[in-house]
Amino acid sequence: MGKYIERQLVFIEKSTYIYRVVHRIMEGDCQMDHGPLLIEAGGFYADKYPVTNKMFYDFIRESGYKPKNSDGYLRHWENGIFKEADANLPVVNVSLEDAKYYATFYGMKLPSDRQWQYMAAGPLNLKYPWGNEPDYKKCNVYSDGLTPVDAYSEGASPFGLYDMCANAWEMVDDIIDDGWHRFTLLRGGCYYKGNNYWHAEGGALPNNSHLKMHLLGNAMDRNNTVGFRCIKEAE
Amino acid sequence: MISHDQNARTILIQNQTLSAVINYSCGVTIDELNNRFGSIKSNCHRELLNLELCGRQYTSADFSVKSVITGSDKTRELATILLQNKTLDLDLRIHFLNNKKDTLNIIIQVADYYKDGLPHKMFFHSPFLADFELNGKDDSYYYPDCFVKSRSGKKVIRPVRESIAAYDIKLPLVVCDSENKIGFSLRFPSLSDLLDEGSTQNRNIMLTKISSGEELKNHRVPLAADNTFNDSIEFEITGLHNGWAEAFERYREIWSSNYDFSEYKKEDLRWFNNCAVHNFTFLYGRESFNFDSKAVDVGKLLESGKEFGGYDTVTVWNQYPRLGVDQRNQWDFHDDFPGGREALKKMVDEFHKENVFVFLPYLPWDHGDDESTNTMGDNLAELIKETGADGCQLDTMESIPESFRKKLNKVRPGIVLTAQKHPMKKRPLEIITTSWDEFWDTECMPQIDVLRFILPCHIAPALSRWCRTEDKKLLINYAVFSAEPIVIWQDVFGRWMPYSAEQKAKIKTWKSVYLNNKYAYQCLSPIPLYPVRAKDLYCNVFRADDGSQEIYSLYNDGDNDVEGDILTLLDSTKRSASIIFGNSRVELKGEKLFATIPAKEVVHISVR
Repeated sequence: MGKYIERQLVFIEKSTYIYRVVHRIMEGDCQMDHGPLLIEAGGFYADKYPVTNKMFYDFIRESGYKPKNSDGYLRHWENGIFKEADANLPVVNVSLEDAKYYATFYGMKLPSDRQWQYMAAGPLNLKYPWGNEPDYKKCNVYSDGLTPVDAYSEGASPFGLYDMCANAWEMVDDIIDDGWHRFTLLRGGCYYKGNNYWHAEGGALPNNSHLKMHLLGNAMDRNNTVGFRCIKEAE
Repeated sequence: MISHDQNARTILIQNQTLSAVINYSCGVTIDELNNRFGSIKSNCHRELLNLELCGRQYTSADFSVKSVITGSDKTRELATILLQNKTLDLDLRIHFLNNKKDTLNIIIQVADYYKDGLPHKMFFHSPFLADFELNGKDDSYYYPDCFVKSRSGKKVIRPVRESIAAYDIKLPLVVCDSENKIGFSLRFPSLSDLLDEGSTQNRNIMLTKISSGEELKNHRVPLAADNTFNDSIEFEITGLHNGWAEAFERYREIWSSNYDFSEYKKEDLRWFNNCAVHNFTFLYGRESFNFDSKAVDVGKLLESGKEFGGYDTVTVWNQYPRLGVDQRNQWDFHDDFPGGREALKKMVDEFHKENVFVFLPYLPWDHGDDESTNTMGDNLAELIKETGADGCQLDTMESIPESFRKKLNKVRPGIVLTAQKHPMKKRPLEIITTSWDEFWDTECMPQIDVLRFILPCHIAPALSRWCRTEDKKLLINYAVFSAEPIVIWQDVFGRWMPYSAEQKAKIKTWKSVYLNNKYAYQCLSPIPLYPVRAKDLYCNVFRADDGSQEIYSLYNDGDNDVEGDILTLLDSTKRSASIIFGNSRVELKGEKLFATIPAKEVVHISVR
């Protein structure tokens, strides 16, 4: 292949933003404040692309990272390395813990749920990264697998961030603990959608939507449709 | 006995419970239909039917009698009257089928030859049915789609399913005298489940939906006749001498006569009968999962269960609503559970050490593209084999492939199948021997589940998952009133919905009472909504099959305590009465029971 997508940062301008999430509520509810909340967002740099297999491989090589428990960890890799054809696909089968190690190693962090929405919707509060209408030609959705993170340039967000709708879900920094449960939130939807009403809703989700994902640990927290991107505070 | 007087144009039909005179001199009328246990003349001079067609009403008198045939075979007698209206291009065939014992079936068949070459809308109404009575005054009516309504107007009998009609249990219309003794049971034998207007010729199902006197008076049933004489409407009538209790028992007998309940008699499956408090635990919560050790904390869960009297079974749930984020299916989730299937096996072993049975879930709707019924059954059997679990919770599955039961039987004996909903049809009810009595009505009292009384060997613990504190009080009353085990489900897929200490204590008491009197509560012939003499008081009766004990479960839905003579015993030879649940006083005077039942409480009185 020979051409790997490099990490790039894009500045996210600071603005006031009304954060509000509206999404399908499964049984069990989603125990957090969904707004509307007037917040200050932006003023940081964000990954232009989700972290790819190649980027994560580089991280492991540079950091020597080994998860405490490796169940399900990078299970789509072979012999400790990604398949060459997958180099520019978003890295998946990593846990929130794995992702946070990656971010910390590079002096970054994962965006919060509020930050992620602003990154995708922009100051004009677009419904989808590219505009207010669904357009399945601008993202990888209802397909058979992941695509390279730069495959849909027309689907970029107002800040120029790629792949914020569908392809792979993106984890955010939030871990909510209500005393009984631990869960995080997934953003953007993904190419895959379960075949039954009772499956968690995948597909191309709008910017103001998220999915509650209960955490349990080990392989249960590593999904082959879930990746992440990072942000870096402006100096 | 059937006697045809061709001169008078009447037919007399008699059996042990009924006597009827049918007159076909001008259409078809019922001259009388009497209960032979009494001396009252009932249902005199009633037109049998009206048809509404092309905006006009027709009675049977608008048809000419083409032929009348009477005869018998070794077990039944038959009178058939053929009616014709050439203008309408309609034939009616009305049968009176007497089983020579206790029952008369009136079968109405319509053949429509489509006078314009087109099927027109047609509606049926029976004045005979609309005015069906015993005495004409002071009669008690029990309507088929819930005869009793609470003070708030809610139906007290809940059908097998709340939202759909495709179940086989359809209660009769019962009319009794004021003493609840002499009366009639009128059943609508139904062969079609479809409620859609015009979907099938047999429209009895519409009549099974009658739930009030007004609906009875004004019934109007769409018919979808074609040019064949299929059954359109049928009344199956029996004379009663012991009122509602007899009618219910008769119905249970008729309904169950089509079933083979041998699965319920299997000794290896009967461990479930000794269980009173069931737990459902969502493994993504601290009720049962330790996030530090990443393992199920069996000891912690069972310790918390002691407040309820101890959990007898635990259903562990690690899938929905988590499934669907990626392509992993339910089988993968067992593999990916921290520690994999070995950890689940270890967990099951720990529960077994504490004499607690374990159910694992099976989600019929979650299957990968490459799975078939066969592979799903294999995967389920393998899971049960590998983990040592005792049963399968079939989720929303209301039926099961025959192969599943066979595959599980090969794993080992004693694997119990249960489901979140009652099975509705014959074979599923025969092989799924338990299910949850789950409902969505959070204000569930006074209410009973009809299946609990029709098929009492199908033990179904009570549950309404979204009950809050006030509703949970009703839920506990509901379980106790119908003498059901209960499912304790506090972590509803990520939402914590706890019981209060007082409620836990009440369940603990109920468990003890239930198990100590199990043989009465699990009797084969419980009677729901037994007649009582106080307003807003409801009663279910559980009779031990050997006759040694009767338990009267009483619920006072009123705002004030009920005191005094509340009911007449089923068995007048009983000599002693005692309170076994609730706070009350009781005294037996002859066959009459005097008691105090506190407002909004359930009391169980054991009579021996």
